[in-house]
Amino acid sequence: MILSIILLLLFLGTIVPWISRNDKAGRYLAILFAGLAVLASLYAYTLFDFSNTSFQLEEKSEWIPALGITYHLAVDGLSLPLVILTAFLALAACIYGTDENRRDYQFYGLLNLTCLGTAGVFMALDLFLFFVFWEVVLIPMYFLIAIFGGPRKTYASFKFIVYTHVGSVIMIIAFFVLHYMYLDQFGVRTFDFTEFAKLNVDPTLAPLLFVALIFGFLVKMPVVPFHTWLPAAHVEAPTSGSVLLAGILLKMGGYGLLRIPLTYFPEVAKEFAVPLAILAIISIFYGAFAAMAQEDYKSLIALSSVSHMGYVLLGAAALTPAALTGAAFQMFAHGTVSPLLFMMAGSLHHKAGTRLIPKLGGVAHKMPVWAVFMVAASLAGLGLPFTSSFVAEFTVLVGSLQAFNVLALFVFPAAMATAGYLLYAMRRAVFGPFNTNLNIHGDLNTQEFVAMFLLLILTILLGVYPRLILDMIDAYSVYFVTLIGGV
Amino acid sequence: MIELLYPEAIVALFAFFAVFATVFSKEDKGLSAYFSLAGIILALIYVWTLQGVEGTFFTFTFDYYAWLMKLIFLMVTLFVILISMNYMENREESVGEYYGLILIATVGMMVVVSARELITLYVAFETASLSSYALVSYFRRDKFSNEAGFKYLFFGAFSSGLILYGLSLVYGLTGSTELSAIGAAISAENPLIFLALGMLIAGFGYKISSVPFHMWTPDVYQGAPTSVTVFLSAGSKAMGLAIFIQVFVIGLYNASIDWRIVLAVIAAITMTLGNTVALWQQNIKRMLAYSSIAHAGYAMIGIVALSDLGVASALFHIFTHALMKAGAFGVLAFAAFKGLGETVDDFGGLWKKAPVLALAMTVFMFSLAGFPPLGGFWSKYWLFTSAVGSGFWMLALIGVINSVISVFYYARVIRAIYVLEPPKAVRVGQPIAISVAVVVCLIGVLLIGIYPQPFIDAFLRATSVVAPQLVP
Repeated sequence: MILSIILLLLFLGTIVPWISRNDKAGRYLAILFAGLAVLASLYAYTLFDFSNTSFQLEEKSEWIPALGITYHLAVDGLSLPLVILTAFLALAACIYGTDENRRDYQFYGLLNLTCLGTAGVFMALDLFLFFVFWEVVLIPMYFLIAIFGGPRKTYASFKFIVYTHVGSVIMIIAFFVLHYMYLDQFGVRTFDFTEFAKLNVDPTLAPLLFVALIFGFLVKMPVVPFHTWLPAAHVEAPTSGSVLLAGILLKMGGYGLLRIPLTYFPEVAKEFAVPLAILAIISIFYGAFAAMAQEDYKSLIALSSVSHMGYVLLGAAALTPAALTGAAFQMFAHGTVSPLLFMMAGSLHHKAGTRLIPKLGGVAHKMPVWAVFMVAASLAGLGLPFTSSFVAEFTVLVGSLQAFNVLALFVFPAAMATAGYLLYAMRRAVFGPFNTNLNIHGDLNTQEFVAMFLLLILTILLGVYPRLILDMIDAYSVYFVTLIGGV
Repeated sequence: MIELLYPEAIVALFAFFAVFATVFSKEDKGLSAYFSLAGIILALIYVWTLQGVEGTFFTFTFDYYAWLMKLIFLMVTLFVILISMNYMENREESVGEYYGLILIATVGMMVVVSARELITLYVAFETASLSSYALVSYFRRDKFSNEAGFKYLFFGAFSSGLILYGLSLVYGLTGSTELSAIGAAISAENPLIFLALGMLIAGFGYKISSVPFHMWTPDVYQGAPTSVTVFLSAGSKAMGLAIFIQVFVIGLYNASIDWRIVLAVIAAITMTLGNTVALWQQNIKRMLAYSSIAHAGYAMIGIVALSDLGVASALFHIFTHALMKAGAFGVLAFAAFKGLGETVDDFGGLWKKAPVLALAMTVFMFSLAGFPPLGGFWSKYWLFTSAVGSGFWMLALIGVINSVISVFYYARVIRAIYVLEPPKAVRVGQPIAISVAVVVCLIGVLLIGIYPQPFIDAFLRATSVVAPQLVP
């Protein structure tokens, strides 16, 4: 029941502000329901049995028997941390608030609706239900960018919807192929995730299906060369929209990749391991070096996401227990650090009126609290020990070194580049002499402070004591690797 | 079993009441509307109580299929009347004949689905068609309405002629006007059958606006009073598809080898042309007219599939399409009633002007585009599935590609509603009758979307009654 309650709370967090039609009440109601969703997700965490590697907190009921579609929710060590992350980000995004006071109640409803869809994607064990939630995410995010976005919002939202929609259509076609193969082989209609694992797929068809299945996820993650929608969407999206986009929407791609194609076609995945690893390393490099060249703080952070999500793909390609653990942990780590950085950029824009690094300088003089958070967030971003990113990236590297040897060593220069662009940007924008052309009014306000503090605590907590979620992830990946017959 | 005719009798009786109401009170436009509303609701209740009844009265057959289709037609007419109550309010035209014609057309449609015999079928079909010609040109001082009415009459009369020739050839070939007897006697080899089929496909093709017989559709849909457009796209089109199914699936099943491929090609072209031309439209009424053409193409897939699932999903699509289009044109009728305009840009900021109708329009657009889990997704899904099941996977693929294309023009409407912010967008009142009709359509679309099982079961049962030869 607890999983449905999380979804229900997020649904109420969508509908109630919309019905209230009042900007102020809408905000508090959205925060209230998102907060309750956080509590519900933590309760789910206490119910979770760490020693059990199969799906837990299961809920299953008939939905459309004619097609064998069920309402089937469950979580395991891979998905529960992401569900908790989703709830936390819903809360953080709602607390952080809007960039401009316009149509607020709709804005908060859309934030919670996005989280509802994402949480559903992480919980669904019926592939049709998975697809429905996947599409549900698309619509509010489109509106968030198109209504509340920056100057080029029309272009950015259109590009976002075209890229992801094409990915979804290919994905649903692949799901239906699986459905009919199952009908053919077992005479039963189903969309159940675990049932499809029994399929006996023709070895000539398997690579085709594998590619169709991973395509939508690679676009969503995004992996170079399918990443071009991301900088556009991020730069134009409102701050809270970027928070959700970076925090959980990209994770849907990573989660889908780990969950579906790797489970069904481990043999094909092993064959594709090196190409995928090369794609991952290109993404890590490309993201890092492209970020270095950015003048807009927000597009710098957006491209750093491409780089960081490359680690997830690298871990998934390596298919060793440590690499998978690292990939799953990286999703959580990046899901707290990147939203934090987007909040920093958003607040900077509110207070200083610009995000362009060359126009900034010495911001720390006027915004000391902001600067403290910025330093902490940047250090977390570059993977300093005692932050969650360090644990994640280190684990991925250890795991992929086992699988790829020398190839994985190529990642190290990129890791250094990450430190480079974050510190270099900070030196120019935050420190140094104050740029007198800047007109900065005020430091962080309470709502920004609370939202950032929430995410920073999560980052440091998991850096210092990663076992809070690392144990369940690790149990999952060890079990998964034995399931697919080792490396 | 004369009581099986009572629903039609009730509607016809109230049609006269509606006409005579204006004789006695010329000023009061409400009276005719209330009479017709009462007639439709009574008929709906009466038909509902006939669930499960089967019987015949001379050439009039009542079975589960007829029951289900009559419910759909009555529901559509209910929406049309509700929408007209607001829409006709400010017009100078008298409304008695208007409501009378709508009800008489409804009688025709209701008889069509009970007809298993060619003459009954043709007479009922013409009853519905002739009334709608008059309805389209009802705004007699409006030149677009007149143009539309003339076009519709001209094309319609031509197609009626073709149908009549086609039916007479079928009679000549088989010696019977009973569809079941025709089904038994028809042979696919006789060359004359090609002539008959060609005429029937063209004639009925006009009615459901399949390419290349679709030319009239955009002009007529755009020029007609918007409440009549609701009737054309939700009601007349549904009747056209029903009649198509009855004649081709019951009567000409054994000649299917001759017409299946032709219909498959027509379906593919219809979908593609409708969706691609709709992309360029600025006027939403015209855009939805092209979307109607595209949806006729989708529904034809089910007839081509010629399986129980195929026919059932074609009927299912008739139903969901009726709900979506009645709702969407209802919102357009609201826009015309309030003088908001009907181009995409005119819909800018609709969320502020009319929040409930704006939300409903958004859902209809998503549903028409086939987003899950909404009604339009399921009927399309089953149509494509049936095509794959019958080996027409090319048709399913073309359908899927078309669905993707269609997202772009429906999304333009959604974008206008929520994203565009014209400076002078102020709240306008949402008229009650239109709102009721639109909200009922909205609930229908959501309900089918979330729980489609009972609906597809009902349509499968209707198919098994009307076309038992398809049930494996």
